Amino acid sequence: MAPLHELSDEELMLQYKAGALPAFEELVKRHRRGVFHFALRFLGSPQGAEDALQEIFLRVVRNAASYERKAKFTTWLYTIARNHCIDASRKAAFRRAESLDAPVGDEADSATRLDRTAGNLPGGDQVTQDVRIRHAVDQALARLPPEQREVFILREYSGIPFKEIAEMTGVPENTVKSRMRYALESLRAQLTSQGITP
Amino acid sequence: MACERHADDLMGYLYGELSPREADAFLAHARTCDSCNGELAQLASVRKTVALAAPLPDPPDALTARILDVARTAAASPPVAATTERVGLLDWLMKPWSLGLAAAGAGLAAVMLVSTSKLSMKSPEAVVQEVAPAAAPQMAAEPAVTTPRADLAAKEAKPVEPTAGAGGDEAALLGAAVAEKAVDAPRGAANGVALRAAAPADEEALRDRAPPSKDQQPAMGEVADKVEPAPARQMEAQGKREVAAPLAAAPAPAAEPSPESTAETDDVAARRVQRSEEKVAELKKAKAPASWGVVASEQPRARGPETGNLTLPPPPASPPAEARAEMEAYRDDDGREGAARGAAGAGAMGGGSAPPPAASAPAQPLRKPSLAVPGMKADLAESRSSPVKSVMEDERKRLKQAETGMKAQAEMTAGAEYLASGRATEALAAFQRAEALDTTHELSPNPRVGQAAALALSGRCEDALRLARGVGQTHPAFSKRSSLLTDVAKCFERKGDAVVAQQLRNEAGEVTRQQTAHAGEDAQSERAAAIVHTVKLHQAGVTRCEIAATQDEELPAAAGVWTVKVTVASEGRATEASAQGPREAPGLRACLERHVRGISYGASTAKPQTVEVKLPIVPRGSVEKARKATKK
Repeated sequence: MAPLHELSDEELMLQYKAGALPAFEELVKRHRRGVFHFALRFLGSPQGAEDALQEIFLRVVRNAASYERKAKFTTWLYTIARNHCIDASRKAAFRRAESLDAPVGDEADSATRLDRTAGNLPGGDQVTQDVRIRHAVDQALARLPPEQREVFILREYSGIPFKEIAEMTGVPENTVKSRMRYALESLRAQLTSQGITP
Repeated sequence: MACERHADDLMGYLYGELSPREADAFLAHARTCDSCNGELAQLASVRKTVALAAPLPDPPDALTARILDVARTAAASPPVAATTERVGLLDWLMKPWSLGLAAAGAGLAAVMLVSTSKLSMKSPEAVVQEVAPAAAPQMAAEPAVTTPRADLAAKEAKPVEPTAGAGGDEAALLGAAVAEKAVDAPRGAANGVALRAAAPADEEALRDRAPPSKDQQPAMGEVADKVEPAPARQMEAQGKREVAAPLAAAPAPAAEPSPESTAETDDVAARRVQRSEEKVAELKKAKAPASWGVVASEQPRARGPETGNLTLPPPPASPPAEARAEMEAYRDDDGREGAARGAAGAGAMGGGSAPPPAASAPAQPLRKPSLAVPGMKADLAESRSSPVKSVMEDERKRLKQAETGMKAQAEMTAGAEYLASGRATEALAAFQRAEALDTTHELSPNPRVGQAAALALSGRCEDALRLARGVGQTHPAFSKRSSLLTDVAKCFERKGDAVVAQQLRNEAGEVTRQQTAHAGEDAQSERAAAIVHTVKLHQAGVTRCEIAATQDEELPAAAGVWTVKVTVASEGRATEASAQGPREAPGLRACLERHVRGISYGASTAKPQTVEVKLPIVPRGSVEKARKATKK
C-alpha cells in the first residue's frame, strides 16, 4: 500500500471514510494552512480564522460519510470553507469586531493589529517592506466587492482554478474570470494610490 | 483593457490554466495586440506585488491537535451517526434523563407544526419567494461539487501541461517594457508556490488537475436542478418509516425550484400538512421528543457539498442494532453526557465535545433543533452551538491536562527527593512515571535527565550515558547537559573506568563552551531582531518624516528604500544613527536619523551593536496642500 503522502486527497478522503484516521491527519496536514489563510483573508480576524478552521474540518468529519470520489476534494473542502466563512461574516456583521487594519496606538499611522500578529516572517529589513505591502494589499482587498474578493482569494491564495471556483460560487466560469480581472485591476489602482507601484 | 474576445484567455494564461495550444494562440495574438499586451503586463505585475507581501501566520499547532482529537473522537462512532441515531429513538427514550427533553421537545413540535402548516398552505411560488432570499446564497454555493464524469475524465485526460512554461519563453518576445513583467507572470503561474506562498499545499490540487471538457460539465442550472430535489426525494423515501420526517420534509419544497415542486398545488400542500399532523400525533403518542427527529433530519438537507455530491445521501450505514449498541454505550457513561449528544444529533462533535446540559434545564441541547424551522438557516444554528461546545471541550481538556501535569510535577519532586536521599531505584521509577504523565512534554527533558541521574547513581553507567546522549540530541541547548555528563563521568570513575570518565568530562567542558558561545550569539541576534522590530513599530515617526519631506519636495524624488543604521547601547539608548537613500535628501535624512535616535530600545545584556534597518519611503500627503499651508 502506498504511503499516505503519496496518495491523492480523494484517496485519502475515501480512506478516512472507511475509518482510517491517519488519512484524515494527512488531509489536515496538507490543507490546514490553505484553509486557515483562506479564512483569515475572508474574515480578517485570526481568532475568527482559528474558529473557522476548526469548524470547517469538523464539518469534513461530520460529512465524511456523504463524500464521494466524484467530487474533487479541494472543491468540496473549499466549498465548505466558503459556506462557513459566509455564515461567519454575516454573523460578524452583527457584532463589533476589532479590525486588523485599525492602528493599535493612538496615532493613525502606528502599527496595526495585523502587523503585530505573530507569523513566520523573515527577519530584519525585508519585514518592513513585506508587512507594508501586506498591509496595503489587505486594505485593498477589504475594499473589493465581496464577489470579487472571494474569487481573488480562492484563485490567488488558495490556488483553486477558475472552473472549480465557478462550481463553488454557482456562476459561469467566464463571470469568475471577469471578476478576477476586475479584482486585479481594482487592486492595481488601489496599490498605486497607496504609493506601492505594482 | 484587453480585447473582449481574449479577455478570458488572458486570465487563463495569467494563471497557467490554458492548454499549450491555447497559450500559443493567445501569445500569437498578444504579440500583435497592444491592449492585451499591456493588460497582461499590468495584471502580472499586480500578482507579483501581491506575492511580495509578507506571509500570513500559520494556524497554531494546538488547533491542529484539537481538530485531530475531535476526529479521533468521531472515529469511535460511525461518521453517519445522524442516520443511525434515528432508529435508536426508543432506546434513547428509555433513559431517565430523556424525560425532560421529551417534554420540551413536544412543546417545540407544536411550535414547529404551526410554522410548518403556515408555510405549507402557501402556494409554492410564494413559498419559494419567501424562503429564497435566505436560502439562495447557500443554494448557489452548494451545487456542482462534482462533474458527473469527472473521474472518467481525470483518468482519460492527460494532465494539462503547465501553460506557463511555454508561455514564459514566448513572453520574452513581447515588447521590451512588457516582456520583463510578462515573463514573470506566467513563470509565477507555473511555479505557483512563489505566487501562492499562503497555500502551498494546494499545489497538489493544481498538479493533478484534469479539467473535464465543457460537455462533461453540467451547466450550473442543471447542477442546481440535480441537487435541489435530493433532500425532498430522500425525505419522501424516509417519511414512511421515520417519525419526524414530515417535519423535516416540509421546508424541502420551499427551497426547491424544480418543475415538480413549482407545479405543486395547494391541495398537495394541504395533504402534506395533514400528514404532518398525523405524524406529530404519532409522535406525541409515542412520547418521542420531536427535537430528536428534527435534529436527525438536518443531515439530508440540501446544504452544499457537505450533504453529498449531487446524489442521494447513502442509506443508514449502521443497522438498528448498532445504533442500540451505541446507545448502550452511552448508558454506561454519564447520563447527561449522552443527553447532550443525543440532542445535538448527528454526533458531529463526538461524545466528548457536547456540553453537558443542566439536568433541570435542558434548554441548551434544544436550541439546535429549533433552527430547523423552515426558512431559517440551519447551518447558522450549528455554528451557533459550536463555540459553546468548543469552549467546554477546551475547558475539559485544560483541566485534565492541568491535573496530569500536576501529577507529573509531583512525581518529579518525589524523584528528586529520592535522588537526594540516595534511593536510586525509587527515583528512577518516579522519573519514569513523570515522563509517562508529561503528555504535553512541558517537563521535557527533565524526566529523562532525572532517569539518567538515577541510573548513574545506581551504577548503570552505560544506560545513564545512553540517556544523557539522547538528551543531548533532542535538547542540545539544555542547560544541564554538562552537569549530567559530569554525573555520568563520576559513575564511570566509581566503576574504575577513568578513561571514559575523562572523555565524558572533556565532553562536558566542550558542551559548556558551546552553550556559552551560543548563548552570546543568540542574545546578540535576538537583540538585533528586537531593534529592527522596535523601529518598525515606530512607523508613525517615519510617516511624519515622509510628510515633511513631501512638503519640502524632497519626495517623491528621494522615494525608495532607505537604509538606516542605528547603534544601540546596552542600556537601550541609540548612540549613533545614519540614514541613506537612493537620492540625497538632507531634510529627510536628518529627520529619519533624529527619529531612530529618539526611540528607546530597552535595556539588554547584549553588547552594543549596530543594526541596519531598511525602510521603504514613499511620498505622503499633497505637495500642493502643503504649499498652501506654508503660505498661510
